[in-house]
Amino acid sequence: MRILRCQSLILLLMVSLGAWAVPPPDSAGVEVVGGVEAAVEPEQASFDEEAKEDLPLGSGDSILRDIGFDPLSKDYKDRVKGLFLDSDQLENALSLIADLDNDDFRKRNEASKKLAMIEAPIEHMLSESRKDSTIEMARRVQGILNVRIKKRLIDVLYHASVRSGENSAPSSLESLMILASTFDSVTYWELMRALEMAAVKVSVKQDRDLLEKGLSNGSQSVREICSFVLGYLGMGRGSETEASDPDDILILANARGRSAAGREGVAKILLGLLSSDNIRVRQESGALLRIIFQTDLGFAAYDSPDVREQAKDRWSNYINGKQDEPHWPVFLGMSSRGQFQVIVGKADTKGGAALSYTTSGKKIDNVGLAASISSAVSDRMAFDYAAGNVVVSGGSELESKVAVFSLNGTELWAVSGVPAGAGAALFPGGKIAIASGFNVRVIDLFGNPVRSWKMPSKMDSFSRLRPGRFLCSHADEGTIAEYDSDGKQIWKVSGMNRPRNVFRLENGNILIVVDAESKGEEEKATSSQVELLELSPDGQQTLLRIQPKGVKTISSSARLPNGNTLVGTEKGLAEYTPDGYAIKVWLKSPILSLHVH
Amino acid sequence: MSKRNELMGLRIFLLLFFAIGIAISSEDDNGPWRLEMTIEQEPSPELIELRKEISDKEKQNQSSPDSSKTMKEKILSFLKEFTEKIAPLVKNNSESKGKSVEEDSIDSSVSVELSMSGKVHSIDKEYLIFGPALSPEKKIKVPIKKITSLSRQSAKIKDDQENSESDDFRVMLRDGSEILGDPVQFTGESFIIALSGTQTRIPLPINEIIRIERDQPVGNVDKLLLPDSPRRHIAALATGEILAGQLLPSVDSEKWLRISSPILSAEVPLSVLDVLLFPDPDSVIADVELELADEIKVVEDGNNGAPDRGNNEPQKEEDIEVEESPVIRNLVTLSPSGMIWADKLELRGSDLILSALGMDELLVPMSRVESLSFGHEGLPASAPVLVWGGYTDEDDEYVKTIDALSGRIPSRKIVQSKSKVPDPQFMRNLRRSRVLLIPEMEGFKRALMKVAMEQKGKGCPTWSLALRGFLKRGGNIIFLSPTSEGLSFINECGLGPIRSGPAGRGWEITDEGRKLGINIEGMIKNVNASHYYRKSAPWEVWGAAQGGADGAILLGRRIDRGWVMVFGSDFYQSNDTIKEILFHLIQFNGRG
Repeated sequence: MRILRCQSLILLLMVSLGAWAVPPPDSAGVEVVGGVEAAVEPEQASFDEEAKEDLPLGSGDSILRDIGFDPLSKDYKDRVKGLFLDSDQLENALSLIADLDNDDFRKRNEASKKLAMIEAPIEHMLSESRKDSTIEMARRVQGILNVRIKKRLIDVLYHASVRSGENSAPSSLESLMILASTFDSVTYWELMRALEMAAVKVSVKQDRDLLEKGLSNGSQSVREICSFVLGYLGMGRGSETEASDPDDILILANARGRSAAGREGVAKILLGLLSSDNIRVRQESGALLRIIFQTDLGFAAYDSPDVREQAKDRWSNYINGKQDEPHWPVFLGMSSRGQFQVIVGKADTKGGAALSYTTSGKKIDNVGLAASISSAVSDRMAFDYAAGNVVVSGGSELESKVAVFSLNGTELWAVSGVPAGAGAALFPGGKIAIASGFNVRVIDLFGNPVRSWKMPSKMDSFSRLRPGRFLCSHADEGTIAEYDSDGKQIWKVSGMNRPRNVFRLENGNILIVVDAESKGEEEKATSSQVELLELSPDGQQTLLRIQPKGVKTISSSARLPNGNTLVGTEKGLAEYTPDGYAIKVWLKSPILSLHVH
Repeated sequence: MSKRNELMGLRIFLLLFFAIGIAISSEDDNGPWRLEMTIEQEPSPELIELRKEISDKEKQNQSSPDSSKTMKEKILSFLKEFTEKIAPLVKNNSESKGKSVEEDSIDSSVSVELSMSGKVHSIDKEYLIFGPALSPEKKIKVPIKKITSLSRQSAKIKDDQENSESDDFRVMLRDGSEILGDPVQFTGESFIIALSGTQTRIPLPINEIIRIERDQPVGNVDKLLLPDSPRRHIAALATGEILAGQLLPSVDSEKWLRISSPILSAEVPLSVLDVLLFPDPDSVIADVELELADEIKVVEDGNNGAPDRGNNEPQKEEDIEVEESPVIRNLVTLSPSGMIWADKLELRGSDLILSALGMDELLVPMSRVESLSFGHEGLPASAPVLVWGGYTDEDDEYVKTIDALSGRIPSRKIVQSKSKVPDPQFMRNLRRSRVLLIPEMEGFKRALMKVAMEQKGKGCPTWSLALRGFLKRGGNIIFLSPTSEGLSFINECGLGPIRSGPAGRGWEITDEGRKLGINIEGMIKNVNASHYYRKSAPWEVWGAAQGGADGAILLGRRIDRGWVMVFGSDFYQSNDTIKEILFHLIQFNGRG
């Protein structure tokens, strides 16, 4: 156990390393975009090149440097502090957003200019304001966003939060809480995980009153952060005032904090939360249990109640047979893996290529994994972080190629000349499930058939979610479903318009491509024929709808840590805001597959 | 001179330092290896079902033109399908033939290529014991005959060595082997080569050696034009001298050698050699040299070996039988460079035991092995010839080229492909062939190929990759009369550079072209149509224009382990002479 503690300390030490600072050079100037003048910051003092070269940069740090927030610059800390609004600044920003719809033209214009120049991330607030706004206001918001996209301040906030430590604290807990209050905890799930850790870094035991007070804050995000920090510090969920009516989400946040600190006693809390009425609570509790115990007892938050109950009983038996001891620090979200890359599988007449980008859109060269994936046809990529590999499949329907790579890009196994049009998955022990048409065939390392099963309907996509759980889309039948290792259907959502390319996010939500409802002939040329939906984990609620204009195929999608969504089509790769607007075109060539890790 | 000594001293030091480095790095010898296999399988019922489904869908699509296509798509589609649909109609192909082909393809076997990463536990004559990375607790026994190749996954040693200055020699042998090492001893019968970075010493019979050259010459030999003297040994020394004559052992030391000509004889230490060229062992030694050798014999003091008189009997022209039994050999690729063809392989401890270069047991440390290609055929004459007509005129040149081979190569040894992209079927055919014959690409247009690649080339390699891979395996490619965009195809695949050149009234086989084994003397008449190319390195000119022009009609260049040959006859019209030449091009094994 001492070893675990040491590793925890090392982890924290590693995070806290990097308290070196450098100011970024920025060109001065004024740019006019979408009717909004965007003042770019004046040039900064040159920074210490030597220090920059001597100290190592993590992947997130490199991204910060790329977007002008060099962690080695002298004024990095001050600039990061500038990301956090105080209550007056927040009020001012909200007032300016409201002014975008003011009757007075001059006020609207003035507000546009000021909003373009605010040095804190307000993009999400602007996007939110666009909902149910007038056409003119929506146009103004889009103009401001177009200017601000270059700053990528939510990306900065995310990566700065991930790297925050004693010497580069994002700001005070209070300002962090104010900023967090502006984000929706479901839409910005990844960012919230990073903000939680940042809050831990700036909190001390003396903050208990503030944290407990935060538990009754009007913002769900603030309540969660406070509960998380209390859990991390081992302080329980808070005062008695809210204990009488505990909110499962806050109990979960507290358990998440305890898990992040590796504290004992968390397993039983999570076990209790498996029965929560809140699907998100069930989803995350199940995920945390799987990570803590490195085992999967088949619980899925969206399964039917009786199936869930059976799985819960299995967990109960498992946990009751163990001592609820301290454990490895367990985190959710991609920041826990320390990887910040977007792998793009690009269609290429030269035989296929994979490229690697930072999560803010800068191309990274010499990435071993991308180079290796380029040797395969990456119609589909399925990452398995627990097993440390990625399964890539693609090519012609009859004679596809399936390859398994380690996360550093070593090709571990490959087969070509087999039908794998729907996808492939790796089983423990080196067996591979290959899906095409109605059939899933399991083959051994030498390509010999081991067993096979037939699906009730033709598959358009097939991927392994977890041990013994496969996610499929059946376009002809209009369903998405999950199956066990014997092909038995264990979950299903019906009534979709030719669903395909289904993908489950880490927070349990589903990204899926469906045919858009048909429109009149005149609209067809410019409107979208397909759309990307984000559904709740049980598939019952549509949370996001992205309709790329004039495209026929959405091949892939992925969620960025800044809350935006990358969408790959036959025309290219574009980034969409959580309200479904295209904000940046990354690439203008056909995209096959995407993954953010 | 002192500077040179310093340089040599430095090199020795680096070599020693490097040797230590190798010794250290070889400890981590059992790093990941990549095992590759190709397996022919019967199609599964599901696959047959899927093939039928796709075939039915294609038929349906063909019978109902898609009205939703844009004009651009329709044009592209027309261009793409022109050769597939219109041309067969013109040729009036029978439907029944098409149907049987289709049924065949639905039931045809599946060629599955597998590769896996893992640890090599042992190799013997029949089996490899391998620990796959995906299932490390398992040890699997793989029959050698099923393995295509085994290669080191990381090229660490190679990278290390490339950064260091090397004083090694490169020894090229007639069987295609190439060894990096140091010639430490000459016995008269053979050269003893110390394999670079190992304790291994390989005695190489001198008749098997083509050339020994310093990897990084000390002198300016790379700028010198060595004399064209096919019957003599030629030595270029680090000191700048060039010697030509008969190679004989030194009187005093095995670390020296003697080059003797009728008028002078020189003894040089092996260490000052930059290049040593060996004549064809079948060539007749000049009388004067024989006399000299006899003289030496008279005065020999017991230290000299008998000179090699060669074989004075006139050589019978070797008839190359198409049905020659395949020579199955294994190719051992060494790190940082070099390769040895071996009949048998076995892993014994940390050494790979080869039956190669005339020895039953040649020890090569496994740490020096980069890859093993099992059962590599060296592409024997018995392997088929793939005639690719993806962009040819199927009615004329394509058919006529195949007709030109009739009676010389059995039809079962000719595989035809009209694929427009290097699809799996084409690649399968290419893998089992030793020659890719490309009749005139009259219908080749870049735009057409682009459309084909976009529509049918998903998952396929590029043509460049496909052809370069074939050459790496030792295959030969013959282009017939490439012109205009056909030339661009060659250049863009990285097989050039080649350009059209001045035409002659006729042409003749050059001395260099005699290696093809063509027994045609004098001028060869042009036929309809003959196309000439510009002479330029690295092409060897095998057929040069006559009648004042400076072009070439028959050229060849070595790329990797294979040859690219260009013959400017499109076989629209042909005669026995050019048919004979084509046959010899097909039979060419690169050794002359």
